[in-house]
Amino acid sequence: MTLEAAEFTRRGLLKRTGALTVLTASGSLLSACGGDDAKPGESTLAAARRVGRMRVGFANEAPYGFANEAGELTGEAPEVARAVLKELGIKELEGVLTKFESLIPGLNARRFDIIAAGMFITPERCEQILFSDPDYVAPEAFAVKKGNPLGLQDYGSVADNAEVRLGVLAGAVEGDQAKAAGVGDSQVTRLPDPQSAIEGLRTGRIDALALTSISIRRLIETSGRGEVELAGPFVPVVDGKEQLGGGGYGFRKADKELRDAFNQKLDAMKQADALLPIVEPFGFTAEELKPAKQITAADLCKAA
Amino acid sequence: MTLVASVSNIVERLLPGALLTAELTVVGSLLAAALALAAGLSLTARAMPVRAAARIYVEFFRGTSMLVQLFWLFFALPAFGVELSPLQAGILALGLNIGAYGAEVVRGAVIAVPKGQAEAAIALNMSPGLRMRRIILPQAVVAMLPPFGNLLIELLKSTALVSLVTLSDLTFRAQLLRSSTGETLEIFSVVLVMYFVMAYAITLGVRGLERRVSRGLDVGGSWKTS
Amino acid sequence: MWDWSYAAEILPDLFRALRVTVVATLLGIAMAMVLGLVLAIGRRSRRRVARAPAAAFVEFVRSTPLLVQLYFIFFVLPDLGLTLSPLTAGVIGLGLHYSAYTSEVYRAGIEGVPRGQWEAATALNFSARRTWTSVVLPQAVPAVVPALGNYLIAMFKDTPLLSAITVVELLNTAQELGSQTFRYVEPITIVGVLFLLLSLVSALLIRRLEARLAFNR
Repeated sequence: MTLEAAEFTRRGLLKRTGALTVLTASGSLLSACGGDDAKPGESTLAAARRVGRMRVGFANEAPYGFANEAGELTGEAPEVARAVLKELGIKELEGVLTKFESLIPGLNARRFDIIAAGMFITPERCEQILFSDPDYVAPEAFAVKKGNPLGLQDYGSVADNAEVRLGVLAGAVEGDQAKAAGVGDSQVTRLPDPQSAIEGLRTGRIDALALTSISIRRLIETSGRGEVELAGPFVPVVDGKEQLGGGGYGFRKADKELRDAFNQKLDAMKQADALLPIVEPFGFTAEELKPAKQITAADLCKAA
Repeated sequence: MTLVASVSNIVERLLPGALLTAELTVVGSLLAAALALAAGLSLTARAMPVRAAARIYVEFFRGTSMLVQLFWLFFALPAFGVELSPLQAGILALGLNIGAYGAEVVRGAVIAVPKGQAEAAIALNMSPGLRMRRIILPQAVVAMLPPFGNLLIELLKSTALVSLVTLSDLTFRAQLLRSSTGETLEIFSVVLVMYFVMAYAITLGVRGLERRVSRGLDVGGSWKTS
Repeated sequence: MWDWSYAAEILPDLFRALRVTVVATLLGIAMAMVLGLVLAIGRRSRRRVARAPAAAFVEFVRSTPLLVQLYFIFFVLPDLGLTLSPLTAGVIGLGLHYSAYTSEVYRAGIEGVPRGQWEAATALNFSARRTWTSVVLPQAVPAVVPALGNYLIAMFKDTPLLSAITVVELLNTAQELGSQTFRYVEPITIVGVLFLLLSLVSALLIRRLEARLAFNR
């Protein structure tokens, strides 16, 4: 009868919803776990060796670490990490995409076990995580509108002109470097990702974008649309000292064993010049690799 | 590339994101429904502590921004030792927030059931549990569905926020696609249409459910006649 | 876990950002209230040319996420020649999005005005404009002030989305502070509390406004 059918539907609706909720919600919540492979008490290195795979944090910043058209993790840092980790018995890399400013918190929250994003080694960051020795160094550069109408060459020229708006990536070192060089807070715009930044430059929201010369070259090539050019490169001066940035790989403070093992293989490859063929396709040259041979993480971690 | 080819290419690349959005909507709404029911019924409970606890939950989550809640679960919680994956944080934020709004809907619907029904049930010696399950709730459900339908669409729209904690939903994938192809206008237009289609599907679904559930009942939804 | 001295340290920065949040919301709700009324009147128009686009606009805006609408205004319009500052784009985004909701509220209010009022206005030979401004709206609008007020509160809670288009409001500032010092608990918690306070204060103000309007009637 219609009445019974309708009532059954209503009751059934409640019951079915209830059961479905409990099953699906709890199932999803539990299975959505971070995917931490380590068994309790097992070190990160041992766990990765056992599973044959390590989770890598990256920030989609070409050419350091990004996902290519096919969605595969590649770039200077991931490829070098791939080579080094292979030597350690870890064949597979699983990329975990994060915002640049979330890389360190994400690492500490165990969302991944290594940061391979070409992250600069700085004293502040060294307080939060362990770094491998740097595998490259890079000067800074600006992306500016074609013709460089405002004649910007470095942070000093930005600080001299209070009307200039400088764009930096949220969480990247350029913001602090600019401040140290006397650029006013109101002049600095923090952008969430390189793409928005270059668009901001093209549409006139910012007058200059500050990143490593490598990143700028790459951005101009892929997204410049012929409207922007590179100004520089220059080496930022902080507290009177020239600060050449060096990028390395990040590990949790508890994973010293992993970091040391990584360092060992990385240093061997550095000295044997085995890195150049790996990073050349991403626009890196011997010029960026050579100085890194002599520098260790400890050098860069020391407060200036 | 012709417009059609370009658009179909975009849709193809965004489809995995749309699937995740759909998944978030479904699981999030189940969690929200469960919380809404629990809290809504608690709001009508006789015991004061139960009512108070539910009231605090509702006011807190309705009074704060969902994005801030999401960020808190994702960024601040780890400091207390609890690390949630982006997916878990997303589902929790969606469920907790919409569940709070849903609790008010449940409460309104339950107290709108004619008092005579409860009195008759008591006269027939039904226990409170039986009374709620067999008499009150089934009738309240009819009044709950239209506002719940609206909340469901709110939930769908709110899933876009998880893109800001790098969950690969439809909005996030749109941003990614944008950074590799730069076809900003086409991409965002397609995304808006995809969300619209999903919202429309939900509206149709809820309307169908309303019709089935109110069959044979004296009350039939609202003042609308269709 | 919680550092009170750090919390005190960041309060000035957060209060500065609070101003941006409040300004964005007030401008946004102003736009939503005006545009919503226009849309509501448009939907009641006898001419299809006015009715259809208004209805389509409302339906579309209500069914798509505010975040994507903001992205559209901020990222797509420049390609079409219109580059807006982040705050302007944000205010317009909020205003457009919420106008779809306020138009529904106004509609309910307008439909609540007794038919007799319309008929009397026609009998007295009022022009359309006079009918609206002297008869219908003065009765329709005060009735929906509480509902409109709810959208003010809702809009406050949507301002954090503006951080995605680089507006330096509360959440954006909290993120920036967090990424500088790697301490997220204090900034985000304080921001949450500030929003709660904004909600409470707005709710109080609206109830006062409601009381005053009721008294005047």
